[in-house]
Amino acid sequence: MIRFAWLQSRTQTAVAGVAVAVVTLITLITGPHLGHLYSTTLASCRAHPDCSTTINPFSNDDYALFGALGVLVLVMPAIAGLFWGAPLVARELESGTYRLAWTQSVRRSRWLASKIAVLGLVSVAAAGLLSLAVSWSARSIDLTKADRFRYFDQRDIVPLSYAAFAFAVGVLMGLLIRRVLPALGASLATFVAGRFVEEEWLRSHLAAATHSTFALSDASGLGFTVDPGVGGVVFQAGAPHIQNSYLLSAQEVDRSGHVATAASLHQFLLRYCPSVAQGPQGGGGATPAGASHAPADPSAFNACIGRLSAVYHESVSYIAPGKYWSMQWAETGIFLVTALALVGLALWAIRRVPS
Amino acid sequence: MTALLEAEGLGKRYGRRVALSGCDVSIPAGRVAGLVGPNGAGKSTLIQLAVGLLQPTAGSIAVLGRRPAEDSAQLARVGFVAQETPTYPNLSVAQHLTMGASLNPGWDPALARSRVERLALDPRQKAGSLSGGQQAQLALTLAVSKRPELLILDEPVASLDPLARREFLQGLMETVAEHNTAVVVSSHLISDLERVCDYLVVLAGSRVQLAGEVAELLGSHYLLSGPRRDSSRLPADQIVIEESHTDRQSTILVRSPRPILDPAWTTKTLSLEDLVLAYMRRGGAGTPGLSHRSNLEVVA
Repeated sequence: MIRFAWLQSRTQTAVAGVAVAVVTLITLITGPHLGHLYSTTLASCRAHPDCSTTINPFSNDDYALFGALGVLVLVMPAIAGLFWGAPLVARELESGTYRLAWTQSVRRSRWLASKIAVLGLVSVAAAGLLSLAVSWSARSIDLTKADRFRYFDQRDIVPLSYAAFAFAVGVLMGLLIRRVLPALGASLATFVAGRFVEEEWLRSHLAAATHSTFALSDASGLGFTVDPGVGGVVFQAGAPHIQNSYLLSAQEVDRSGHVATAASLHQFLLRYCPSVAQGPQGGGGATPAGASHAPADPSAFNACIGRLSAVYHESVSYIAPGKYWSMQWAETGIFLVTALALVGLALWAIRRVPS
Repeated sequence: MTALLEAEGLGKRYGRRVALSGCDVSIPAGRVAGLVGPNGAGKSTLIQLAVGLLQPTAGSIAVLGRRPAEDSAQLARVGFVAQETPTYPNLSVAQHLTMGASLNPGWDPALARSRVERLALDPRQKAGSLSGGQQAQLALTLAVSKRPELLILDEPVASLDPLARREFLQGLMETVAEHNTAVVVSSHLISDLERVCDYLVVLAGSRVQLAGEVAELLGSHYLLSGPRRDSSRLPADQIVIEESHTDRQSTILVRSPRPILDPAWTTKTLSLEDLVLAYMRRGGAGTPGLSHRSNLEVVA
């Protein structure tokens, strides 16, 4: 049985092998070069008190390749899973060969299980190897970017679970819809929906959040802006950059811990920073909403920041860098278990198809 | 001995469309049974029910005494050649045999090889580039090489030219004789089956119209012609299958267990084709709604 499943999966295996080999070759050629750039920069960086001021050693081409390989890891496992999963049963139903396959001395569920085992493992292995190669070659740039969670779904083990999920969705859709093209469309929509739900709603719950309070001086992008809601100038502070962490929320809070509203910030500015609160040309409404601007007098600006910092802080909740791997495992687990459940459903459903 | 195929009140509906209804038939063991009927009569439905590709919506069916495709052992007992004899276009002849060996514990590699040699098929050729006749032969090779007790074929020659048709049926008969395999084979043409079958089931209008030994069927049907006579005045054991009357003459097809002795009749025996056609007409050419009209036409 496995022999037959293998026979029917040779083309896909060859395609996967070539794709993984090409990407691995690219990473083997470029990876050491990036690593060298990184280690030489790191060496000079250590001599300085603050590494962030070190000149970036990577060229635009390096970043283009970095981005392209990341997208490849994001897209390829899904494409492979969908394009191999959806026709697995649908093509047999469409071409009539199911009447040959399902009348041999093997029950359909076992026939399907073998085919899923072989081609499913090929897709998962290909996705895993692809991610391994890219994660390895990208590590130098990843280290300088210090923003691990931004590339969470392009690195390490989660991509292989996306491949498994895409493949399982494809198989089940092919079985239920019985036609290759509509099944492909439905699978793609389901896959994207599943990934969206995971990324938007589930991922942030995979690890316990850390809550911290930061001084306004730690914030990225301090400034004033006209808020159309209150019709006047308010204060804005970007979330502080906490290296390699996954930011969940950042809010300005006052001394008693209450969240600062736009109205309260505006009131504060009117009272303590009247020159800033007037805005450009004295009329807040004249500036397009959201456009930050520096007040005419820098000293007034700095004095105002000082007064704000005495009252307001940034309350930030984020997932700490140390949780990265437990989240990788958790998300991988979620998609693998979902994939197995879908496969189970397909094995059950095939007994009733077509009838 | 267990019947090859036994159906009781068997029915299959697709939504509101009835493909087969109230089908009662019992094909005795060891036969080469032909299943004949017009297109759309339900032959393919009955056959797919028999190999477990379809599930009945009414009644029951047993093949070799067991539910079709109940488990792998039952699947191994029945070889199947589907309509249009599907094969995998991207796999070579040799790979099809590898598939057969991989999916069937009872696979007979020597038989498969010798059949491929005898058919002069190139083992490296892809099935997609074989002729229709060769594809059918490959499908038959797969079905017989699993060494089934019963071979079921669904319109295997429908898409073949007359020469390939003949070769295929010849190959089928050789295999059957050599391995003592029972067969159920369907066709919409009786001429395909009459040289092959010793048992016949006529299906028309999604119902079984006639079933029996070919010799017995031929020996018990008579075409009577003579002066006009009302068919109700025939002896009770003579069952009227079809009748037509002119002003002066009557022609009546009867089924009778005994020879016709009435000297008023000119008695003829029928060819199997004429016999089957009469029963098909009775079944209404595949559409239940038309059955009355076609009967009337025959009477008129």
